[in-house]
Amino acid sequence: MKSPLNKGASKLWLGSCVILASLIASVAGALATSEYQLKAVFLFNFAQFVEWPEAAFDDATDELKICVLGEDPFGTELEAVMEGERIGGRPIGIERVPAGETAAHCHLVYVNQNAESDLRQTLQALNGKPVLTVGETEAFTASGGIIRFFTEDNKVRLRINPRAAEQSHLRLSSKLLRSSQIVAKENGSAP
Amino acid sequence: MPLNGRSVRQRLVSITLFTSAAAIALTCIGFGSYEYFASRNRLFEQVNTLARIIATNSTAALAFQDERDARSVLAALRSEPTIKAAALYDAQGNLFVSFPSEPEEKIPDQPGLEGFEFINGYLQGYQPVRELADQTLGSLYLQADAGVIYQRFWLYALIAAIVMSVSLLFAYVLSRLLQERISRPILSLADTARAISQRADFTVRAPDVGDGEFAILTSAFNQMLGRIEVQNTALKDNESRLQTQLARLDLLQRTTRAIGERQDLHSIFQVILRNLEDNLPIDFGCVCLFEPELKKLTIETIGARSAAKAREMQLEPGALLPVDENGLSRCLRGVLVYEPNVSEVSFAFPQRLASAGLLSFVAAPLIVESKVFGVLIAARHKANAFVSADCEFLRQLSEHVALASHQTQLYLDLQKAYDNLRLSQQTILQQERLRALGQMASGVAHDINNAISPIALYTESLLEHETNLSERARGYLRTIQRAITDVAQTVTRMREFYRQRDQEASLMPVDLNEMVDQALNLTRARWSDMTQERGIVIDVRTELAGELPKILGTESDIRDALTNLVFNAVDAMPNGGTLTVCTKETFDTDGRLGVALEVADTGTGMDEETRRRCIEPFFTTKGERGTGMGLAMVYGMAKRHGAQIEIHSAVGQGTTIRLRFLIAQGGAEHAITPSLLVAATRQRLLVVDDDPLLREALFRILESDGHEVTTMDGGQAGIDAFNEAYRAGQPFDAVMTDLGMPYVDGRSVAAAVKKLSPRTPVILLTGWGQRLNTEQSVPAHVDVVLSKPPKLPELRRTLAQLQMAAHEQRA
Repeated sequence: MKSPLNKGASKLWLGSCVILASLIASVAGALATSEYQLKAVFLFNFAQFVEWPEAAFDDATDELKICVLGEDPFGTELEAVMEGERIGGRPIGIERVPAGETAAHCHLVYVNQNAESDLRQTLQALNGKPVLTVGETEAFTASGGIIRFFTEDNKVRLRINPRAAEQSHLRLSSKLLRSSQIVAKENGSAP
Repeated sequence: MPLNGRSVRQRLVSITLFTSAAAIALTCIGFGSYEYFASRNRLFEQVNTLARIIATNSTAALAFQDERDARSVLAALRSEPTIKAAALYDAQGNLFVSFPSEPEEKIPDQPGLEGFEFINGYLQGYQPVRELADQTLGSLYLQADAGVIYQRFWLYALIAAIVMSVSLLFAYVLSRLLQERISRPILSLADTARAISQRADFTVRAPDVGDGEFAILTSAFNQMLGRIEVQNTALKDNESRLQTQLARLDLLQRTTRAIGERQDLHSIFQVILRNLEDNLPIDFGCVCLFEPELKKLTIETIGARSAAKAREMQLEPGALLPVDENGLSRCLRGVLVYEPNVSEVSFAFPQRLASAGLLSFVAAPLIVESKVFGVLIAARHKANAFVSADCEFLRQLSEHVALASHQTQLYLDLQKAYDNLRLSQQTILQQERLRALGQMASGVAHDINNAISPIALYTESLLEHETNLSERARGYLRTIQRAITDVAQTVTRMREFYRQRDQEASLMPVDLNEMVDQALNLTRARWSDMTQERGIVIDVRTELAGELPKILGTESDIRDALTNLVFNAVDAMPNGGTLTVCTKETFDTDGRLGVALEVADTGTGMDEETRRRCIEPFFTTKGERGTGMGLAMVYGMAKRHGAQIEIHSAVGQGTTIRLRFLIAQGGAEHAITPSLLVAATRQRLLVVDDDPLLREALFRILESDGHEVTTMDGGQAGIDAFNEAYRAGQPFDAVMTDLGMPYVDGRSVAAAVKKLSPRTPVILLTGWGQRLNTEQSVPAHVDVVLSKPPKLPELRRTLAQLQMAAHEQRA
């Protein structure tokens, strides 16, 4: 009677160890990748709260292009998030562009440029074009970028420059504005 | 009646209340049900709407993980008390934020399927959170407390209860006020009905209350009462009429019984009139009988109390009433006549009644076998005094009276028939006695005839042959001869007396004078000897015509009739008188010659009634002594002889009875032929007789006449002797045989003789009277019948005639 009991107990113990281990691994992985995974999701979600002018698309089924300018911090996260998704019936295309001039055909550009000059040049190039610009640098919105990610209390928060959006002929949802910090006019007026 | 006042009122109120309560309750139930489902729907819609609003407002918060924003959106639910809990889940299904921060119920960790449902008193479910149609950003969970619906129902129930109470109170008050309009007429009808049933007074009427159906009901009720009242009155009338009718029936029955016990019309009528006068009642009553010949009514009976009135009107029993054309003649045609007021009628009889102050009368016919034989008259002082029931009663009574009268008549007829039957029975007994007597007399006569035959023959023979006898002896012999003749005649009469009437007896020529002599001789004892014994003298006279033609008839019939007439004449003269019998030639009404025979007496005579009825059979005035057959027999004889009979009589004047006969036409000649022929020829004769004396006498007489006579004792011996002689070649010329002999009688002898020798004549001698004397009654095989005692001349003549006949045949 004794030997089967010991055998069952050892199996249960072994199974429990395996499950615990896999849980720890996944949590660690998630924490490591959560920031840009979240930001990828945010990029996808921006498309839902922003309205582009009709001229921005060739036709009704033209794909919505999401471009990454500069060094790509997302790795495969963008593709993972966008895979198979559609926004308002449009498929989503992901491109990596080297400079602002090359990003004019994009609808949403994640600008990853730390140098202020580069940034200014890029934004200058995209100014007046219907492109939603998203960046992370402190001067992004002040430089004419539309949305900036920033971290507050370990949470990714948004800062929005409505004037820049207006200049780009984009209409932002008020709900988006409610969840974001709005750049004051004085601050935002700087070119 | 269970519908008394209180219950009607209570019922009306409770019906009203119940109806109101039911209506209100139904309304409440309908309203409640509607409210329940509407509330649920409202809650459902409310929660759905709320969920959609919250979801729409939460999109950005979920999309960009804005917890603060999400909380503030959910916090807006605080203003909606029905929402007990809410939560937002992100796209991965993790709980993002919840409301309130510490919920009473546990919030699910994972979102469920889209949609809301009621579970355990809560409405809960999930709403997806989308900004664009194809992108789900997360889910919203809402939990609402459905109990708020039920809470509201308590309020509704309270309101309903209050409304119901108020309504019912109002309805109660109203119905209390209004039920009077319905209950009052009903109660008033009920009061009326109770009053009627208690007092049985149908003149009470219900007061007129209300309108519409109640007015109709009341008037119908009153009409019904009116009809009941009318019917009640009619019923009472009928009852009294029935009582009268019963009394009448009783009277009818008593009268019928009374008249049933009576056997004569007069007393029946007396009883009826007395009963009518006392009990109907009437002031005058009488019964009249109808006389068809006179066409008038005879007053038969007048009621005892009506006698004074009758005298006033000069009516009395037996008086004749002319038949008035107005009423009485109709009555005689079988119709009951009622004259309500005679003063308006001008005819004689009604006027007569009016003169005695009788103003109305009824004449009821008395009908038997559809013939009116009388009229019952009932009258009263007042005009129009007879009602139809009276007339009907009188009609029925008259039928009973007629029936009783008829029965009385039948009874009398029966009585008469019975009397006649008894008389005829007596007559038959008498005849039977006479027949027995006659038979005895016949036997005696036969013996006497046989006995005196030798005496007669010898006496005759002596007187004829012994010429040397002294005159004295010859005188004695003649006396003996007369005496024998008288004896023979007496015996003959005795024989004729009993002789039964032979209906087919042939009519022979008869000398009426002879008949008169014989009848007077036969009845001599009656009119001579018996009357003289009583010291009465009856003088008998005969007035006979000298040369009277003979009539055709039967002697015995005529003799009997004469005898009867003589007896009647003698009986009619109990104190003596003269009896005259006469015959004479007469001519009848057709001028034919006839002979009249009259028997007249000077006796008491007959009245008209007796004269009319005297020839009826069994009619007699002699009481026990008479049979009532005498004159009937005379009448029968007259009929048979075609004679007319006349009876002349008056009381105290005597009676004459005349019979008219027609005289005989020819035929009278052959009766008597001259008997001068004397047998000259010698004959061989055979005499057969069982009487030795007669045999001896015949032998000697015939032998002295020169015949050769053989005598034989008895029939068989005679037949043997005849046969022997016949075979020996010496047959007898004639055979003379007695009729009545023991063993073999005269008929057998005659038959035997004729069988052997048909031509040999046979003479039959008989002591049985003249019954065989007629043509029809001559027996077969016999040529001549001679009666005893044989007379010598007759014997000789017969033998001579037979010999002559034999010679003629041989020639």
